[in-house]
Amino acid sequence: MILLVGIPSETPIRMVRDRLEELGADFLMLNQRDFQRCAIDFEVNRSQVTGSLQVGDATYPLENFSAVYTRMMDDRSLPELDDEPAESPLRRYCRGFHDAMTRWMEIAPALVINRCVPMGANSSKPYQAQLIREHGFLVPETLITSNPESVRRFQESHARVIYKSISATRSIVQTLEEQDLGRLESVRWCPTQFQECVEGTNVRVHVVDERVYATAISTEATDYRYAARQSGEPAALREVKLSDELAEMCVSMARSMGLVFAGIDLKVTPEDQVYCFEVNPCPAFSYYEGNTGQPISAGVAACMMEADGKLLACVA
Amino acid sequence: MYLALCSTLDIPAQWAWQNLAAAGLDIRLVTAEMLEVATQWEHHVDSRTDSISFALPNGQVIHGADIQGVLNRLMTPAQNLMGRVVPTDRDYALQEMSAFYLSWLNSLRCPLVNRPTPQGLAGRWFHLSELSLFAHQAGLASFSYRQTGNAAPEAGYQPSPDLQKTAQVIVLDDGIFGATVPSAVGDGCRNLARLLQTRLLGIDFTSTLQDPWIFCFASPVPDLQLGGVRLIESLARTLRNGGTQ
Repeated sequence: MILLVGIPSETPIRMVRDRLEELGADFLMLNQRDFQRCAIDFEVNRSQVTGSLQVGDATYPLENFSAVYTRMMDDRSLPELDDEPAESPLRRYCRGFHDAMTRWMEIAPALVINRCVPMGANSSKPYQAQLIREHGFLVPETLITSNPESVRRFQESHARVIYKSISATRSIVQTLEEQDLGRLESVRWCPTQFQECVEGTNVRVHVVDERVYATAISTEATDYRYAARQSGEPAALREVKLSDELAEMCVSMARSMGLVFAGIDLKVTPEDQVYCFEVNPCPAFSYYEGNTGQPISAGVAACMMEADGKLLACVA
Repeated sequence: MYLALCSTLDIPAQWAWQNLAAAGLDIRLVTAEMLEVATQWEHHVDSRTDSISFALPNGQVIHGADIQGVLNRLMTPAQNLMGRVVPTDRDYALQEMSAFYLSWLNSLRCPLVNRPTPQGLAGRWFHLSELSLFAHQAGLASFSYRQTGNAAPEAGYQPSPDLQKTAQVIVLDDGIFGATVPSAVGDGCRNLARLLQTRLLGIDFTSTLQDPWIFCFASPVPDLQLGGVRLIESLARTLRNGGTQ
């Protein structure tokens, strides 16, 4: 059986759910907004992980779940808690239920897309860049500094410089412009990340186990996700085919990072050099599938059905 | 030059720093609080290499390339100055600093005990549910672990209050320090440190009438004083020679 966890109306979840329905898969959609009607209880005994998940009146043995696709939003921000005091019993239960779900997913003998620990590397972009380059990708020259003079020197040595957050929070890429130099003194308070702007074509590669879906993005904006806001025109997306070697590099990197599903941000320069900016462990693929028709959600669904099939074969 | 990185409140780390210095290591104590007010931070990352440098409050400039080894006990960036950050930006500022520390620590090519991870700057913290599985795999006796939605999440990252700690072992590479353990338990401790990919690991045991060595918790920041002089000697060797992991 396959388990989907998140908000059913959230587009990536909805798309995967639609594909599973089309394929006739045996699945359960756990709406985290229904947490008050849900309960989980798991036990680790020697090498066995067992337990049960209760959703309304139905109870499911956890051992029956062979694959999980999770896109849980921050449970502390669920609308059901809007009027709840900080330490109310409902808030505490909500936190406890989501934590128990997460802990079970970390150790469940199932295919989990994706577990939390492998997602951790994305919490620090320069740290992740150090992992990325081990896989043969170029990474942009990056400076993190609290010294305004260093920023000026860095800018002088590059045609164009961008700045962005170091962590995964508030991660909007901006070009360092002349008017920004007036507030450079602020970096003394907090080391800030600056990066050479690599010119070329943005390519988002979604890897689902061994399936590879590559999308080229054309835009004048610094951050194509915000193209309409930054350049006044939405980005144009088209399906592209990667060389076998590059596709294998992407698959290998995602696998070594422990990610079943990854959104890899590449930039291919006019000289055919391949830079990798980031490996997104929780890709919102619907933007790419919606614009190109690439069957990414079908790939996620098929990947989970394969895992489910293996479990059924084992049981048989 | 060697560094001991820790909070000013980390007494075991400062004990280790003093004893490593007494053992002849040129080791400087750099606290989280000193790093918080350090200036001139420069951390470069590119396709081939990386570097880090910063100036301590006393004016001393630290270059990553000059660091030969680090006793790393940094749990989190110090937060004494966070009060000056507007409340809506505090979480963001802490995430930025944590992400920065993870990167510059990871960029050091010298021996680090322990290397930073996204789940802990001084080594990864494991949840009790994971520890229960790994302890079994390592060959250590352990109690079963159970969790429901009614449990407080923070309870999973500390020893169960129901279990009384009766002995503590510290593993450094393949060495066992602290309590004297039967050889099979020592092997289990080494196996566990390898499975957890944690070079310096504290392992707590509890006992029952039937079994005096039941695993109950593991931490990447153990009380180093339990290891005594032997641990200091081994730590000094590890920092000097690097070893492998």
